[in-house]
Amino acid sequence: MLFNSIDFAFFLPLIFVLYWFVVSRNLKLQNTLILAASYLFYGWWDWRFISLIAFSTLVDFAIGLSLKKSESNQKRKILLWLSLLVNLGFLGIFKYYNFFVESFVSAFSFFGQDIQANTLNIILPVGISFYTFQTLSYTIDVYKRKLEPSSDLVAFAAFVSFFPQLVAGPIERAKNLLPQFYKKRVFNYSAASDGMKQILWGLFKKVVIADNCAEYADLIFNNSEVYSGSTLVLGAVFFAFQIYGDFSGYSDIAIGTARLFGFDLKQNFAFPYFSRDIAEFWRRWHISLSTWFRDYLYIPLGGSRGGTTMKIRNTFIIFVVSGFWHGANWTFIVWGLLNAIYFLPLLLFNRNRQNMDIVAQESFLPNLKELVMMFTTFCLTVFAWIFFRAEDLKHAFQYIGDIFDTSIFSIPEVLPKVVVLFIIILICTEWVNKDKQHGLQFEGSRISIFLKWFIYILYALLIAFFFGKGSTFIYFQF
Amino acid sequence: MKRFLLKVLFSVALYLAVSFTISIFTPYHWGNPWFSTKIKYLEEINENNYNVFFFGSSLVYRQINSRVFDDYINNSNQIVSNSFNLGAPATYTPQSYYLLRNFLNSEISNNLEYCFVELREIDLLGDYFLHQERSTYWQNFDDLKFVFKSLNSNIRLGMLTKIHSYRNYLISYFENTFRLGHFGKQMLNSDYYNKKYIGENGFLPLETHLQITDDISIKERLIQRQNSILEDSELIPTRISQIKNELNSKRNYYDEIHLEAIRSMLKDSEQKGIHLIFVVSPRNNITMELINLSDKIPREHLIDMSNPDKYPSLYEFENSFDVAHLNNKGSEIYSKLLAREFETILANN
Repeated sequence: MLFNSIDFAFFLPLIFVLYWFVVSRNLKLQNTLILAASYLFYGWWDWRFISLIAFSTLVDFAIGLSLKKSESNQKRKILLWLSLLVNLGFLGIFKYYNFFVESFVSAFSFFGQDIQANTLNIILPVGISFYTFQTLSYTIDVYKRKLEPSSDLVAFAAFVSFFPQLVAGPIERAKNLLPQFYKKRVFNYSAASDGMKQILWGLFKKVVIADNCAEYADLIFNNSEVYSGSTLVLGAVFFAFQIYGDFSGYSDIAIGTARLFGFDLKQNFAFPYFSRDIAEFWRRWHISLSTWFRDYLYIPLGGSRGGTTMKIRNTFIIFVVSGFWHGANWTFIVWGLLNAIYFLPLLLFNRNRQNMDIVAQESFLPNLKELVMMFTTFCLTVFAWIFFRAEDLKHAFQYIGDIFDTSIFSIPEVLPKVVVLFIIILICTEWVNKDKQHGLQFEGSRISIFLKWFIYILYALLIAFFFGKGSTFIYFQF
Repeated sequence: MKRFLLKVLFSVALYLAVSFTISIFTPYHWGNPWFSTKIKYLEEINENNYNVFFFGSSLVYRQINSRVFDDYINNSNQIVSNSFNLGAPATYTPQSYYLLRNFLNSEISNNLEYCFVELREIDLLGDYFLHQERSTYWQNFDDLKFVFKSLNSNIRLGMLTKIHSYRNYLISYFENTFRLGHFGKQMLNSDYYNKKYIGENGFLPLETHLQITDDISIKERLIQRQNSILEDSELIPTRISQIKNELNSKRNYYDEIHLEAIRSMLKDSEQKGIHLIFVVSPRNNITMELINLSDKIPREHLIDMSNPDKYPSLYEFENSFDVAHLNNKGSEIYSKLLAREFETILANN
């Protein structure tokens, strides 16, 4: 089920009413309802894959309990590897098997050896990368004795399949989310009210920004050979806002929806396009994935504690793996490499933590230096997005080659003024609330109540006007 | 919780109030770009002397040549005909009735004397048309009731088909109430109301459309449709035999709810001094139920052009654009035949 669908518009109020008016007195019933709703939500897309989540849940639940009972390090290690094997095995088969087979075939044919290999004709289960990482964090934390394993199967299953963030994150840590399933949720007016605003903001980013940018980004990327350099630049910028609106929009709707049910999910995007350097960008973009890789990959590898070679190696590993997580395509790997190249100088010169605060915190507008830094970071990011969006590496290099042509100084052939206006509205709204959790969090500001309501209704109308394309979220494929 | 629910209710009420205010300032036809462009044109021209209008789907828009029709009628010296084709693609029943009702209440219909309305069964609103502006903008409670009653009384349709249709109509009604998917296309596309749609007195055959369109995707689609009858020579004969089978069917059911609505429209138009004529178009996927329904309509208010035995030229390959539409030559023949039938009605009254 998509957040931006009529189905969800009926599903959400129905579950909300059942949750707070029928089962609110009993924790077990609350969790059972969340679990049933989550499986329904997921099964709406393809019911066959429910069995995949259910199996993964049962395996990790059982391994968690076994880890608790077992004192032998050897046995604990085997259990951990078993969990990794099952979870990453599913991920590997569904997401990466064909990529590896095809890459091996290409590599062999490069050396003149033609080999026959069969690829699998299978579809990728929606959100598999997200819930796999969520369950992995559980097993690893239990293994490291940082978390008590769950003995409540319903609560655990509800945690794994929690519908607001099941298919596209945020990737919640068991430490943060699982304990919330052990306590009876009590309705909180301000959390629910703010959750509604965050849902509104998320829908605006998805329906008004991402879907409209997608139309032009697709047009330009799919016909890049006929457009001028300036249009290609615009195409990459549209894609930058498409992917931001799409993914952060989803996260906002997920967080807002969870808050309606009394859950608190972590912020996943913190206005990343206002970053002053790439290190800051990666602290603000897809935070749940970045921190996952930091805690479960970068730090175990030694992080930045070792010598220069180790720092470089670890940085490349984390960015390449991050790229590979997004999809089985060389374009994602190059995208990851490029970000590693952007990031390395900051790390090596110890400047990766220089911009920890919020830009222009003391003033309304940024100063010239901040503006230049934000613009430069944005340009670097947009450049890297070209690899992310391109069909293959050849297309990406062709696209970049065509940008740096004399036609880069011409007037773009495609310039949808209305979409540009929407992007400006997005930037202005986020700038005003850049120290908040989302763009429509006006609490504590001096804006009058009438203006607030005007803004809410205006955004709601814009969402309605562009509603109905029924376009899926980009990150569903990851 | 009470405070939260009140706030949600207040938000919804405020939103609906704004949405209702917007509807006051939007013309009744805004979501049908073909029809809307034609109405705007009629409003813009200084003197609107049109006294004959055609309403319906592409079977009207693409097939009734107003000029040919007028020439025929004006030569017969019974009345002076100055007609305009208000047909628009996929404008099925009850949308066509909605547009007709509103049109009859507007000032540009002041000179109207004769109005031809395509007679079709109630549209089931298939999934293809779901979430499209043109399927939602006209939805209203009265038409929803009319559709539901009609579908409910239909003994030919299976329960699942009915449920699917109820669902699609309800979704479209909901989308119209909350303005979902409205105005977005107009904001982005300056060509949304394209004057090319007007053609010649509202008539734009597919063949001409193919010649004048700049839109590559439309061009490709039209060429594909044109080629379909060349690639499969059985398409037109199959359509003819389907129609003949229906005409020979012994089923005697007809939609009483629809007939009631037609009678009501006839009564209302008569009070306004307008002669309404229902037309069963050629090449339509007709059913026996539709023929039974048309039999209940008084003769002076009906022209049935669907019978391939009676009008073989309307089903000939060389007069076809695709399986459902005539080409320029076929439209000319059809417009003359329609005018001839109209002349008979005029002579008998």
